[in-house]
Amino acid sequence: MMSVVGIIARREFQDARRSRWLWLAASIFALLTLAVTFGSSAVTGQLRLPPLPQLMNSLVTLSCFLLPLLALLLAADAFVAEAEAGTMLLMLTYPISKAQWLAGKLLGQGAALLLACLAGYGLLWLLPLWSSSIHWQQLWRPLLTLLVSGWLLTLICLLAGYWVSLHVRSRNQALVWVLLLWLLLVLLYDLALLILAVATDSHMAPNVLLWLQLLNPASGFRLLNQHARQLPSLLLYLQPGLWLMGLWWLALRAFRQRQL
Amino acid sequence: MQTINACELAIRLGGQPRLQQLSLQLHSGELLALLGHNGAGKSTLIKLLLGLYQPDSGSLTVLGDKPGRQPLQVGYLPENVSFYPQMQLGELLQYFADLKGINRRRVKQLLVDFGLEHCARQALSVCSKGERQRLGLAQALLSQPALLLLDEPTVGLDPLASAFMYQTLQTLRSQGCSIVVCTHELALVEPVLDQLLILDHGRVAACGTLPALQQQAQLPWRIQLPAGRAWHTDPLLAPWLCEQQLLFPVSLLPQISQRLTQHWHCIDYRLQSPDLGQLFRHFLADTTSELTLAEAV
Repeated sequence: MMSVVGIIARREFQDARRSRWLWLAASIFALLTLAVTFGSSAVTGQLRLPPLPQLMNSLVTLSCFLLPLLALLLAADAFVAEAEAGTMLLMLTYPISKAQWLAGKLLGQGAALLLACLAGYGLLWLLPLWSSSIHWQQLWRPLLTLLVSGWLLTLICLLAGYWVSLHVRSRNQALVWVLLLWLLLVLLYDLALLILAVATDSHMAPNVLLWLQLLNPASGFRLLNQHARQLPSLLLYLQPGLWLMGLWWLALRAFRQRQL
Repeated sequence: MQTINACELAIRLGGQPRLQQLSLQLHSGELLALLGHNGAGKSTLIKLLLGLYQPDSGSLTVLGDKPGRQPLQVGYLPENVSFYPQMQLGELLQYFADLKGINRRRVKQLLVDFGLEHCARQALSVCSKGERQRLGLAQALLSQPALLLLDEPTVGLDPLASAFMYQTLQTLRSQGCSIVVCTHELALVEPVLDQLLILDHGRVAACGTLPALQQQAQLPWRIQLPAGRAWHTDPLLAPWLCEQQLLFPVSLLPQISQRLTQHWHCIDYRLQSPDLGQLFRHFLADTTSELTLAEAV
């Protein structure tokens, strides 16, 4: 018999599938990946595959913008919509804990986003068939890192979105806050670091900037995929785990403190 | 068996007192009608009974235990619940059943009992309000609870759907299920209720059985008299005569009915006790005036 977490996760996944949100997200992601892969060389006047390191950099940048946005938009509604529909009150009278409910939502929506990631990156596995200059041996490792770290980033953003969703009273408020959070994650934080670097006139120790980047999960994702050799690899892999644990704790705390 | 035992309950929310000095007992197979204006504290009381809120003072047991400890023994239908619009009706009932560990046979039986078989494969977004409310009641009954808590179950329903809802409650009550129903549909709840609790700004304005509250309120009873007789000439009836009807205190009922049958040979008169609407207005008006006096003092 399926556990309570599994039952909730299955419903969340089916909901994402039925609302066509999943298909839309997967299609947009796949289309943009294709555009980046085959269209980025158009500025040079010809359509050809860029070298693999350049291609991976473009894909990391695309994922860094798109994956947090998809995850945050999906998570924004997660709890506030339940409160508006009256189902939150009902579910809290069922024999399930708040941690089980949160875990069920995370697993279900995480699975939907994993499918979107697989659809987005899926076509890239066919690149060796398209171009003889790209080989399996070169491709599988960076692509797998991109897929796994990208999915971890979506899980982090889902939890951040739940945290927002558990603090607001309406869906519109949730939408505004997650969009601001997205801007902070993918743009404003890096911009602030850039300003800091310029303001200190390069007096900052070379590694400090990298360490500061680790404080932002989106920047951490970029580091993991682009500059893995400049920081201890254990730390780069540990960073998403720490973010996941921290945000899980925050979201659960917000859930327990939320007034009905 | 005592289903609910509340003694001197009080709770404050957001710094405001939401319930004060509330005492209540409900037994198996009894229906309690919870009445009051919007914001009177009805939903707060239901949340206390569900264990979603903790009282600041007083004691409360539900089915002999702390509230919320026996989720399978308590069924609940929240006010205005819209569920998950993308899901099919039957699938949603199965979802709730899975969460409670209830088998498929019970789900099928409830779909039949509530006349929802034909729309079991319909998405909730296209189901009518009546179908959604029947689904809501069905989910509350999944585990055959000993206590059913319903928060305004007939809001927005047509008269037939509302009647179906109260007919179902009557059946459940006769099967031994205790029911607390929070409602503004006074005419519908009156024939089925055993106890009545009227709340006003978190205070108990009235609590008890309907006859006891009728007695307590001392509201006039009413007899519609047949036309064409000189009722005003009768010294016993004349003081209570108001156009074609008698309005009198219940203490005079035996004398008046005897007078009508023996002296006037009148047996086709219609006797009306104060209805729930009159009691509701009476007790709420009383509390308001008491409050005003208290504030003035």
